[in-house]
Amino acid sequence: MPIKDTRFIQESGKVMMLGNEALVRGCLEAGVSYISQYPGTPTSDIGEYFHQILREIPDIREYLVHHWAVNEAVATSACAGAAWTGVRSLNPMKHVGLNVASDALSVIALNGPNPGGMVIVVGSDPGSLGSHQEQNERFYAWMFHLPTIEPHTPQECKDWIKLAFDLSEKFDLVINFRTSTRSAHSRGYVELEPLMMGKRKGEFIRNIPKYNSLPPHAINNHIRLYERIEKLRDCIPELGLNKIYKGTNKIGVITSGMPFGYAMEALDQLELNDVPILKLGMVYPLNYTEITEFLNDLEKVVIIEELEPFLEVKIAEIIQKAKMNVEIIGKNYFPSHDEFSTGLVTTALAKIFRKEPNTKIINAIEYFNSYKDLIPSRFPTFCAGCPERATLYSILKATNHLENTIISGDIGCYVMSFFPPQQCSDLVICMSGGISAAIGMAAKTDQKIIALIGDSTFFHTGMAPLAEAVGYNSNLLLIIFENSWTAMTGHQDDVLRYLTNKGFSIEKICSAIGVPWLKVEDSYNPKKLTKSIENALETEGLKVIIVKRECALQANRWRMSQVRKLEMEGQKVQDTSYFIGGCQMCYECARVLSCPAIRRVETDGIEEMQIDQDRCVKCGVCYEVCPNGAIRKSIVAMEGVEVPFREG
Amino acid sequence: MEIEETDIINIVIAGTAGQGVITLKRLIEYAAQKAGIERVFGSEI
Amino acid sequence: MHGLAQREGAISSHTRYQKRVVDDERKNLHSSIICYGDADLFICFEPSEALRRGIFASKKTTFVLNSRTIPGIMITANLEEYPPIEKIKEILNGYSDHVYFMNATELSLEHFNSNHYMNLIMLGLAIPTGRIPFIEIQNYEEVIKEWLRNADENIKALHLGIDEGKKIINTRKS
Repeated sequence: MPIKDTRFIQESGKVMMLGNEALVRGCLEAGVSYISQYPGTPTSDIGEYFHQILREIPDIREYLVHHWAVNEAVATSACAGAAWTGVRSLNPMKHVGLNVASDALSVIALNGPNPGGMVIVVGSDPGSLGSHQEQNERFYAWMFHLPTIEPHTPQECKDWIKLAFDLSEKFDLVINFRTSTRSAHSRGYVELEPLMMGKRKGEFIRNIPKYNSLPPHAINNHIRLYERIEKLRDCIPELGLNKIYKGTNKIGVITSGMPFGYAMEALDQLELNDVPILKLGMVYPLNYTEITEFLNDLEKVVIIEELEPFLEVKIAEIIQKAKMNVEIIGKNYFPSHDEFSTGLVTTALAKIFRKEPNTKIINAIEYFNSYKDLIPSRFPTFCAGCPERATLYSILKATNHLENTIISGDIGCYVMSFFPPQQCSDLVICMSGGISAAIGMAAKTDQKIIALIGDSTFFHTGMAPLAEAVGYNSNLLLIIFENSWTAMTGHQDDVLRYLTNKGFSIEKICSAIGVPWLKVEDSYNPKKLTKSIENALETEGLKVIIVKRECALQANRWRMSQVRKLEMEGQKVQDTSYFIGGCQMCYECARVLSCPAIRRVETDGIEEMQIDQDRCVKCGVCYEVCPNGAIRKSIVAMEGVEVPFREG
Repeated sequence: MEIEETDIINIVIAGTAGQGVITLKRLIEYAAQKAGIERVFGSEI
Repeated sequence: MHGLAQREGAISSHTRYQKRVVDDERKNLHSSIICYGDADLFICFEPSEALRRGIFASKKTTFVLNSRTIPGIMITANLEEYPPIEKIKEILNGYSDHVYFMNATELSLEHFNSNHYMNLIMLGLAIPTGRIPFIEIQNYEEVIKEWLRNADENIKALHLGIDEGKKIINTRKS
């Protein structure tokens, strides 16, 4: 959208930034020189901004390297490797990415990132706004001793990520910079400071005890980790991360991150302007003196935090150790699930402070509830022309609408297949959890099993379970969507694209690994794909079908650019369009294929389906599947150049 | 209705994917900056 | 923003601002999301989306809506009903009298041969309601020139929306 965006590179000024943009700006002010990440909401755009910067300023490439890693564990170890050469590395990931990275991180935290600095950015997702689950990853901070900073505004995102690098280098600790879907995608002013170029080269210096956490060094590193964390704990009050808003009320509030904003506005709405508030910028570790001094004059303290009680437990620990008589109010008034809001916090605080409930909020909720059942559902679905939707259509046809068939789903766009009307995914666990679960199922049930996986997920962690399925010749069909992109998170270059350019392919991997039954199909040929799935399900043992077809969003972008180019050159281009005539209203296109470019309209009391020409990408799948031949194809300028979708 | 300069202005923009919801939000925010508005804080989800 | 929220799904955003901050931080803007019932203005690109975000509305809310509906796949599949537009109007009128519909998609198609300018036309409708205070039209124009492609068309769309919007709002007032 922006024509010239200088916000990342201008030396000074006040600019409007999202949390994630500000975080990237902070990294550029901190001299970061290596970033590695696997894309995942809400941290994907961090990498996109770095890519934008690297594209626009080629000179910076010598000092700044960004990798789209194959998975989070690779990214985390890669960042540690870079830090161990003495540079500053950044490792963004979504909250569940931390689960994947945790194995590596447990050791890296123990060893410490020095001589360089390493900051992980964990994008939490209370409310599951862009993820398949919600979890409170702060508990990893406790487990691995990762000092954890939680920003609230974009300004804090920028300022504090810089501080995070300083702390990482000074204390030899991996810093956890914990954002959320909300803080990462909220926008506000950011005052810029000068940029600093990262180190061009580092050098690894051998230090066997530090980098080999094995006996006897493992225990020494564990002792050293406690020393490092305690040193940092002592300095917390001087860091400027935590802030107290004074008040005379005997009930105080401790909070952090986005809930701080809800708490401030909620207290104002309830006219509770005398409540002391401790806003924590660092939620782990806590400085005991700082906390006990805040609690000293209080009878009760309200802990406002999303998800499982972390601060509540840590503050309770401090109260207990200090033998203080302060009552803790937390999860007995606030939910342990979902995202908070000002409305929710106001309602809970009204009860805690025995205030009249806020009528504005109550009326808003009541009136909304009176009509909310009328709101038509609008869940995310596959784009018009999506090859994955077309594959699901073939699965439904080949299995007589999943009769005696289990679909073991996975993470990617196809995670949406559980939504109606296709409802074509029985379960989802985690990246490559689908094929793994299918192996166990195949061992214990005679039902037909189809596991789904995308190419990016296949490279992430899918090859290992495929090898196991080959080893046990598990009786399942694995369908691999090869759409050439990490589509769900916004089409980041993935390793697959580099590999395919070198003639490498998933097909070759499957053959090399010893898959006994392997077919490559095209989802835009649904009849042939359906037949192939039927054949596979009639065959015992492991079967793999690779469905090759580029993500329709990208394929259509490419095709339209080709068309524009040819037209600029003055060439005539064939124009194919699909339209509906004589519709029998059988709903095959609307309920089984369910393409969003098709809509039901009523003209003069007669219902029929219509194709939205501005949304249709001309994949032709509806034309192939209409049982009544009511979907017609028309080609204008037959004599012109044909521009098909690109192959592979 | 009197609007004070210290009042907080609250605008919801709603639509469906691809309609330009976020573009309009950013446009209003950038325009607010041009207009010398002292604090802007909005969410894009 | 990508991920589950994007593909064909419902999108909403909250814009919040404060012309002058006060010394007492407790009285200032701190949350990037609006409290239930606190919205001054709803700008809706699709009628049913106003209902989806209705929890943020109250009697003080002004609604401007694009009247073009986008039925989701469940409506197309005839597995769900799209509420009648009269019903949507009735619900919104239950909040306030300030509910203004305009077919901005059609205006965009008619004037620009594309639906891409609907959002700027809708901003145009919102401006004469007076619910986006302290921002001048030239502020928008400057930003459009700096940040948007096809700036001229977008500025035209904004003014088209303002002109059409004034007609709709003045008709109501008289």
